[in-house]
Amino acid sequence: MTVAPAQPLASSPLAPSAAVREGWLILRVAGVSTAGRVRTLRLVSLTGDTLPSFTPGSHIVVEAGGRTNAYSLTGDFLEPIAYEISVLRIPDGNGGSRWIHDDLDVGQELSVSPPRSAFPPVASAQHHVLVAGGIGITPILSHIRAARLYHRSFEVIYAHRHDAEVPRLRELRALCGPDRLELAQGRAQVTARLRKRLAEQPLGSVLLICGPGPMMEATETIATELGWPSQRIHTERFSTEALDPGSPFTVKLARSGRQLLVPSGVSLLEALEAAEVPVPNLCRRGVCGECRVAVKAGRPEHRDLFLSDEERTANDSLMCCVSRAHDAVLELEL
Amino acid sequence: MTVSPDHTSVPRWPDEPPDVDPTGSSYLVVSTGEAGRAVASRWTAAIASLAKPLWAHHDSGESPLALDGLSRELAAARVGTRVMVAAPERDVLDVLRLARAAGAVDAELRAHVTPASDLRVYCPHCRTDTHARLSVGDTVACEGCHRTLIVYHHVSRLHGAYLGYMVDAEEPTT
Amino acid sequence: MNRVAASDRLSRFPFPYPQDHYRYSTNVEPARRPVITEVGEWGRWTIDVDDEYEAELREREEILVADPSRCVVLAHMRAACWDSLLECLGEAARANPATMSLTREGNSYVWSNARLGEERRFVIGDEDTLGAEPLAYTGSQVQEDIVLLDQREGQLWADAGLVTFAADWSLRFDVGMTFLELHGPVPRVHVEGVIPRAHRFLLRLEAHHPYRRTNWTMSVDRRLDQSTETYPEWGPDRLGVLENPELLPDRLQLRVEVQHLIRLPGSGAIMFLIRTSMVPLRELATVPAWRTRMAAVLRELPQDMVDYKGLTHFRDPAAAWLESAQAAAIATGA
Repeated sequence: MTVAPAQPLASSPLAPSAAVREGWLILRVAGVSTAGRVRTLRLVSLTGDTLPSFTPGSHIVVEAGGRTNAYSLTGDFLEPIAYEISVLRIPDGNGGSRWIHDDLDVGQELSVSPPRSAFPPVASAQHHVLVAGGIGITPILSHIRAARLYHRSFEVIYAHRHDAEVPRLRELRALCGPDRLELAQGRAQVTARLRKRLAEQPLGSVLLICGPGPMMEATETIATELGWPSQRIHTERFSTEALDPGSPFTVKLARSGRQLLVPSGVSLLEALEAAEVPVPNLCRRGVCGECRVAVKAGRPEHRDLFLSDEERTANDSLMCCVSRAHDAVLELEL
Repeated sequence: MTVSPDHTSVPRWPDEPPDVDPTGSSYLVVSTGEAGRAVASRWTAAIASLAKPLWAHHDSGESPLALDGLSRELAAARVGTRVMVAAPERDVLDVLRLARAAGAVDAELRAHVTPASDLRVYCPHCRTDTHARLSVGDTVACEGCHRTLIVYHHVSRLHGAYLGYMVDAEEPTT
Repeated sequence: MNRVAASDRLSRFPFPYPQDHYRYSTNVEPARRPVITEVGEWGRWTIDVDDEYEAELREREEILVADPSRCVVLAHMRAACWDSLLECLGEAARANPATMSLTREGNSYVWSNARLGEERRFVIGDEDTLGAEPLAYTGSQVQEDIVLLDQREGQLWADAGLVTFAADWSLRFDVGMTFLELHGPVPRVHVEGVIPRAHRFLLRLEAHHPYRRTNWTMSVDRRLDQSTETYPEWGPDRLGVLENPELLPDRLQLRVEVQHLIRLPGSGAIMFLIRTSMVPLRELATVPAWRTRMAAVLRELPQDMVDYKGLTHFRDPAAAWLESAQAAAIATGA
């Protein structure tokens, strides 16, 4: 029995392309609009096909002027024609948002990751309380779209500073209507609103928060004081750890004497396969244990879900489909 | 037996009653039977010293637990509510089932199971429940279809019931 | 009843044993990879439409009329059911472009199924346009059984499903259980870490990356509905099949489930598709590699697994017959 390589779906934008990283998409900037410090981009596929559906609250990682930044998707989420993001210009950040504001133009191409879901809606919730601060409204926008499509009860509390513009306000008002959107300006007003609303939510409600760190912590504190268990509180924290392509390292094959380079962004398994060193494998995600290889020397960097804590500390084997090396050279029993 | 009791869906209850969760903002306490009453009274005393709103219901346990009052309280409950129940297992399963249907999550529920309980056994062949004093592995006649069921180590929290199935389908018929 | 040419059935059969002995493992692998077998191919798509399509869907309909409890949808799973509809119809169309199509026109979808003479224009979220509850409609168009799991509180809850061809379990009883609770009664899989690993894998499953695994048991006669509900009907056959040894290899079937594990993007729910295939031992034995391997697997299988899989009464007779078929083939030089 042999398993043929996976067939990508013919019209899928995930089909192999010149994308820098495996699975990433090349999209074209089809539209740009700027309101104050917020620039909203519409990104479309190069072939005009619809883009992969995503779970509301998802974000994409964008390669922007040499940096990688995560931005929430704000638009329609079922086979959308475009991905839409809103970027706040941060003058003293890593430069990604400055590049998007100052250097990016309509018609240009961007390399973006597939959507990643880390802030999903809670289908079973009786009611969603969506709290956003400033640019934190972005993932909340797709939550609102989901709530409307699936007829779920929701309300939005949108906190903004006195002197700042309010990103996407017109669209927000259109999506929420008058009864489901509360604007709150300044800390005192926001705190008062939260203290009132969070004390009167029916059992079964959930709280989703996205905004600047201190604002999220303050909201969480108010909720906790009012008896909300942590399981009901969900915050959007972007994390790009799992996408970390890792440092390159050299692998020595003890039995054959060969040496291979494992570049950044290429898995050890892929490097071995490219060098025609066969390793049994199945899930290619670090869970099934099939690609386990014995380690003779060097410290593995374990990224799998298979090994026990003792097996990890022993450092005498690793899952080559996901794990890498802490040291420059790793010697394997191959 | 290679089925791990720690991992079946049969609930495992700790021996000691749980404490009151002090982070709640209001409490619903249900108890049945004398042993249940004793545990619940310690809880209600603790809640009184927290000076937080309390609704308590006690049932003698002689007839099936009346759930109407609890249903009404749950329908009006706010986030911040904690539900606590001290009773034999069948009543505990019923209270927890009702609370979850009203939107409660595990972090908001605390239960203490007192000894000697009827089980509710679900018969999938005729889809009816049978109640009897039983343990897993016992057999019982189904009140719906009269087949002899064996009580299996599989519990549905949604139904508040153990799964039974026909014990003698694969016996030779003589 | 032999509705279909044996050779077609065999050529698509997903023979489930990679080795001469069988144990539970977290045997997940990426989906949509064709598996080339000794006599054919399977696994190119996540939805499999074969020559039994019309007959099996009629049988499903009869089962649902007799027992509507085989389809259960908890209220909050509506979004997941719509997602599942799009995913299943879309894949069926990709796999069968000559007879099926799913096209989008603005806010509507148009599903066309020449096999059933079905043409339907529907709007997501609007049951009136579909003429049915979405999960029930999906089940009327594909042969797979479907279970939908909601991910929340770090658990996966089987909160909806349409299962008419269960192998000795009851959806009605299991609905509302977590993934871990569902697998409680299975021997070994918790202690050996198989289920916890599968669980961690599923929690991190991403949209647009479907996986699959296989499961197996044996059935007496080509009876698809082997649910706990109807156990009094099929249970006695497990003993009864031994009454006439001549018929044993025609009545005893190797029953295989191909399970697809798919993250549905819109709702974030996980969809389990379960596709059941059966071949009688006599047909299986026409493939030399399969008859020797299955005999070896049956002989070696530990008693607790034999009992859990319901093979207690006929493990030895089945193995013995396969071995006799092997001996006969050797004797005649086949």
